[in-house]
Amino acid sequence: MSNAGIILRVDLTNRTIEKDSTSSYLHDYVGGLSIGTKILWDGVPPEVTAHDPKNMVIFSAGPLTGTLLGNRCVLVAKSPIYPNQTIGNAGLGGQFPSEMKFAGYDHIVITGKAEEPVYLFINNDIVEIKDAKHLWGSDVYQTQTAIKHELKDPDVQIACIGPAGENLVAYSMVLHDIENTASRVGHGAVMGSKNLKAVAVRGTKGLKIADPEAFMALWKQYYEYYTTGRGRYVLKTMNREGVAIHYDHYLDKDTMVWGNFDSFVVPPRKKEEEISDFMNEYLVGRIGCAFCPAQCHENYYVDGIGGGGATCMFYTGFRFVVKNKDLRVWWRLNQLCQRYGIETLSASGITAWLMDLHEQGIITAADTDGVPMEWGSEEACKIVIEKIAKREGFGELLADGIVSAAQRLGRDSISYAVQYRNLNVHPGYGPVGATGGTNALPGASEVWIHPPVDIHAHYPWIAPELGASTEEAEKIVYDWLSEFTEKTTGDKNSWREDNYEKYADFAIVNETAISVCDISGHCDWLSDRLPQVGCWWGPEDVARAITAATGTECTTESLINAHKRRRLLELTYVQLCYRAFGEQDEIPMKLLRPRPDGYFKGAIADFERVLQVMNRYYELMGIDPVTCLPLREELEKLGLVDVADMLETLPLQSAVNPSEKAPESIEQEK
Amino acid sequence: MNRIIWNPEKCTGCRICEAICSFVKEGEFNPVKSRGRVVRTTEHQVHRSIWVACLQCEDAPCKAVCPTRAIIENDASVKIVVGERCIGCKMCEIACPVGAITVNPEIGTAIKCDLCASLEEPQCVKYCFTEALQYLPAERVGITRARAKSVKYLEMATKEM
Repeated sequence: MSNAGIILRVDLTNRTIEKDSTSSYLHDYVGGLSIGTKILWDGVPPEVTAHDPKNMVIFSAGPLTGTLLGNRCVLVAKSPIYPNQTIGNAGLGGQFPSEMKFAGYDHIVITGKAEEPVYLFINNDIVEIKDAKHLWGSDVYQTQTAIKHELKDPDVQIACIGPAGENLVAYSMVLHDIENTASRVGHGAVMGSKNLKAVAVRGTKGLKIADPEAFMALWKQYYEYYTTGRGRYVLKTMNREGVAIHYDHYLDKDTMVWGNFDSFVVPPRKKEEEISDFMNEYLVGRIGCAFCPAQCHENYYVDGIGGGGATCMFYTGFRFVVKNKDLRVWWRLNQLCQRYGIETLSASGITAWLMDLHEQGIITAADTDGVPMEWGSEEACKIVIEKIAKREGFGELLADGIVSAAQRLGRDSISYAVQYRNLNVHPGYGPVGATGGTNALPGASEVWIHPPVDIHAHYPWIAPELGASTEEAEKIVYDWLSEFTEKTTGDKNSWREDNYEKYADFAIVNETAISVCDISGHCDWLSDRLPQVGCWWGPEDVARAITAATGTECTTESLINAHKRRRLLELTYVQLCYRAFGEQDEIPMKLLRPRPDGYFKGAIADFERVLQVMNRYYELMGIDPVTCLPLREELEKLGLVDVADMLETLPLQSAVNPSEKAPESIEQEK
Repeated sequence: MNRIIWNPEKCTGCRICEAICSFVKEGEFNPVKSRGRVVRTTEHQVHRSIWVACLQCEDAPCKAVCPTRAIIENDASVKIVVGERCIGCKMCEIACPVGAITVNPEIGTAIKCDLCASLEEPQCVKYCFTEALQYLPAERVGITRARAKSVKYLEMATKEM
C-alpha cells in the first residue's frame, strides 16, 4: 500500500545494510517526521555530538509521499548548529522523496562513518555503498552530473553535499537537483562527518493505493478546491510567479530588514532591483516538486553567470541584510553558496554581522584577510562564503555558527549577533508582539510561531488574483484568518500579534498543521499552515487521505496524537541535550531594542508578555513550565509511560528554564 | 476524432499527468506504468520537460508491425492494445517514432495511451492545472496552435508600438 513498508538501515562503519519493517511504528507515529524522530530518539543518546559516528541522518518520507497528495520527506538528525546539539529537522522536496518510496523505502537511516568518502546507491532492492573519493571536493551540481553519468541513468535522483558539508560547516545543507534543499540546521555537515557525499536512488516499484475510489474522491476535492474554490487565488499566483514576488511585498509594511537589523526601511528601489523585473528578464520556467500543481520554484538562466533554481528563502539571502540591491550580484552570491552547499540565510546573516562590526570599528580589514567588510560589497560577501566553505583563514572562525564565532572573537561582538540558538534570524521574521518573541528566549525549544509579519506581505501578493485593491485584499485575508482561527481556536483574534492571551492557541494549530504535513509527506504550503491565503487543507483532510491510501484507518485524532508524541519526544530531547551539553544560548540583544523605524516602529519584544505566551503553550501541550519537561499525565495519555518513567530518574530541576533566563527588555532597564 | 495536444510553453513538468495516468489505469502511483510520460532533462542547471505519449498516428507503425494484430483501431481511430492478444515481443516499442509505447514490466504486455477510451475525457488533460494539455477535435487543433503562437507575436508587436 502507499506505505512502502521498509526502513533501510545503513551502517557506514561496518558497511552493513539491514531492512526493517515500518509496520511497528505506524500505529503510534503514522509516518514521516514522527517516525523519523522516534527512530532518532531510540537510536541516538542525547550526549552524542552531531558529528559523532553514532549520530544518524534519517530521510523520512510519509504515507502520502509519491502519490498525488504528497511529495516530500524530512531529514532528521542531531544538528551541529544548536549549541546543545539537539534534533534538527529540514524538509526536502523535488523528485527524490517520491523516488525513494518507489524504490520501496519509507525511511533511510544512515549511521556510522565510512573510512573513506562514499555514496549510497539504492536501486530498488539493491543497496550499494560506492566509492566517492573522486567526487570529494566537487560542487553539488558537478556531483550529481558525475553520479548520473557513472550510473548511466539520467533519471536517478540524488541528494548530496558540497564542499561546505565535507568541511563540517554547521549550516551546510543537503541539496537535490538544482533547487531543493534540506537546509538551515546543518544536515550537510552530518553527512560530511560520515564521509557520505551523496544518496542516489532509483525506484520503479510504484505505490499501490488501498481504496482508489476514496482516494480519487479526495483528489477531486483537492483539485476543485485549488481550481474553483478559495484556494484558486493563491494557486494561480504561484503558477504565475511562485512565492518569489511576495518578498517584494515584505517592503510594503517594512517587515524586511535593511542591514543587520538596524533598520526596517529599505531605501527606494529602481525597477530592475525588483524580483518581478528579474523574473521577467531571466526566468526559464517554473519548477517544483513531483506531482504538485503549484510548481512554486523558479528556474533562471542569467547570461554571464549561469543557471540555477530558486525557492522562497533564497530570495532573502544576500539582499537587504547585506545592503545589496543588485539582483545580478544577489544571483552570483547565491549560486556560489548553492555550489558549495551553504545555506544562504546563515551565510548572509553572518556577513551582515561582520559588516556591522566593521562599521562599528570592532573589526578591521586585518581581521578578514585584508578585505574590508563594507556594506553591499560583493567582494566582501564572496570572500566570506569561500572562506567559510573551505574553513580557511577567518572562515574557520565563522564555520561553526555566529555564536561560537562571537565567543572566539570577543570584543563584545556577541551583542551584534542576531540569532536564536546560533541560527541566524530570517531577515523578514524579526519579532513583533507575541510573534517570534518566544524563539528569542534562551533555553526555549523552537515554538513555531508563524510570523504574522508574513501576513502583511501575503495580501498584496494575492491581491491581483483576487481582483481586489490592496486594501480590499487586506480585509479579505484578515476575514479568512478570523474565520479560520474562530473555527480552530474558538477566538477569531487569536492570530493577532498583540493577542498575548490566545496567541499560543493559534501557534499550536499552526504547528500541528505543519507537523501533520511533515508526517504525511504533503507540502505545508498548500495546507492549513497558510489559512490567510485560502490554503485550507488540514489534519482532517490529511487523515482521510492516509486512510484511503494505506487502507488502515487514520483518524484526525490519531494523526494529531502522532504529532503530539513526536513533539513531546523532541521537547524532552531538547532538555536532555541541555543537560548533556550545558546551556550556552545567547540572547539576541539587538532584537530587544524597540524597532527603530518603519510601520512597526516602537514594537518591542516584551518578555514578560512573551513568557505568558510560552506558558500558555506549555499548558496546552501538557508541559511543566518549571522543568520544561512533559507532565506524566500527558505522557501517559499518549502511551509514553516509558518516557515518563525515565524522566522520573532525572534530577527535578530543568537544565534551562526560560522564565528564569528571560532578559528584561532594554527599555525596562533604562 | 479528438486529440490531445501539448503546449510546451505552458508545461511546468509537474508530472501530475504521469501520476494520474498510472493511478487511473493501474490503481497505483508508478511512472513506469504511465501511458504518458514527462521526460526531464537538465543542462547547465536549466530544466526542460517534454511530454511524450501516443499521438495516434494515422498509419500507425506499432499496429503495422504487430505480429498478432494486438493493436486495433476503435471507431474514433484510437489505437488500442488488446492485452490478451499481445505476446510481449516489443516490436511496437521499436517501431514507434515517438517512444510512446512500452511494455508493462510486471506482466510483459504492451501499454499505450488510449485517450481514456472508457471515460469521458483523458484524465491527464482533465487534471492539468496549467492547461498545457488540451483535448480537442482534430479540426480545431490547427487554429488552437496558431492562436497560441499568435498571442506571442501580438505581445511582441504591441511592445514595439
